[in-house]
Amino acid sequence: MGRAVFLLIAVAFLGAFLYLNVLPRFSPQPRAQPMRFSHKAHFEESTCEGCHVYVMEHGAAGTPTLENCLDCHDGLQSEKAEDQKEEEKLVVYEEEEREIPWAPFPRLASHVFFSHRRHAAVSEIECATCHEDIAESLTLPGNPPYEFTMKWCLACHEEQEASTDCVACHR
Amino acid sequence: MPRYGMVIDLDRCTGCQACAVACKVENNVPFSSPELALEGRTIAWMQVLPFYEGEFPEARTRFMPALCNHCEIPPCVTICPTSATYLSEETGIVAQIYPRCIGCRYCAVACPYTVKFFNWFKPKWPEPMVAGLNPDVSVRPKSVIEKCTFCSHRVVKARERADGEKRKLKDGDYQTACQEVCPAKAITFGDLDDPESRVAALSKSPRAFRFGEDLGTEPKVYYLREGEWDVERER
Ligand code: SF4
Ligand code: SF4
Repeated sequence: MGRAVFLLIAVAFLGAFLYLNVLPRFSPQPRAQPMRFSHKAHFEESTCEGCHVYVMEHGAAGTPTLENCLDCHDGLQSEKAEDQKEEEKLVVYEEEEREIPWAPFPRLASHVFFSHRRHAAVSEIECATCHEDIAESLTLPGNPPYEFTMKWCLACHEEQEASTDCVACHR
Repeated sequence: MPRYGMVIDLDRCTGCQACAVACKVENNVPFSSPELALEGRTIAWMQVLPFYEGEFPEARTRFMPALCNHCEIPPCVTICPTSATYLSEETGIVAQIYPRCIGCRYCAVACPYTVKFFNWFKPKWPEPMVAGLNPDVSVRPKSVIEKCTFCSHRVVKARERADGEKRKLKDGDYQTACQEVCPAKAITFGDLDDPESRVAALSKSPRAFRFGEDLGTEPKVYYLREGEWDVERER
């Protein structure tokens, strides 16, 4: 009897340990972003390539550097106090001579090759076709806001009669 | 659809190995060592094979750059259980998709030209070279087969450029690394089905032959043997 109780408690402890400590490591945790960045507010003033400066020229679109931000943010521009609090972080980064520590989401698998230039500049596809309503968002997402699967890519490639050769994307 | 192929003029080749080096750098192919070579574990998508003839003082060496022949009837593709290696309908390139490859090495055995290489180890480079790896090509993991891809990442780039300029891809837009670097201009590359292309003209030269033609693999790499140059066409 005592033995059974002991076993039960041991199993309960083990279960609790797995649930609290091990399981979370296998599910994606939201990542902390350095500031509450509003795509919406920026999109009203600028365009996508205003901040993602390489989107029309290179494979990677690029995340804005502090310098890119300071090009426009010359002093505090927000009106609301809570927005100013966020904007002040830029001043701090500048004083500390630090880059903005954006938390980018895991990139594509190392054998998958994608070119923003090919899609946005050459084929003139709207950003929202793949990035949905990110331009409407008020905060930076902590988890990937959408999932790009090969099936999803191929559906469009087939419809548009773009290349469906494996090596066009996998190398 | 283009059908890319190559012509290598053995009469022009000086055996300088520039093509072999360019290929390694372009495609992130790891270095080898004499010890690995003895174990047959080198990786060399492009290698210049020497053939020795005669005795001193009448001795001479002939050179033959050897790479995947991108066969029209590729035995490596027929045998691959996972379609990791396949003949592209869009380009005629025999491609290799690394994440599909299970490393069974059937293809390496099936290839009569022995140009498929297995990754026995995780590749390593001297530290200063790591930053210089080609970002357009993946670094292959351990346990997959690799081989010449006719620099297929370059056709993607060339198409992107041509489409950006709103024009059709023309002969010479898409060059392989070995072709680009050859100081003797021994390597010509392009669409074999394009009647205007230099590669198509040279492949019909009376000097042209293919490696192991009797095997029925229909290689798309042609060699030009020594002989009278057809100067008009070979300019
Ligand atoms: S040369 Fe060998 S690896 Fe290349 S396509 Fe032919 S059989 Fe396959
Ligand atoms: S080693 Fe890879 S590419 Fe070659 S036959 Fe096996 S699965 Fe196919």
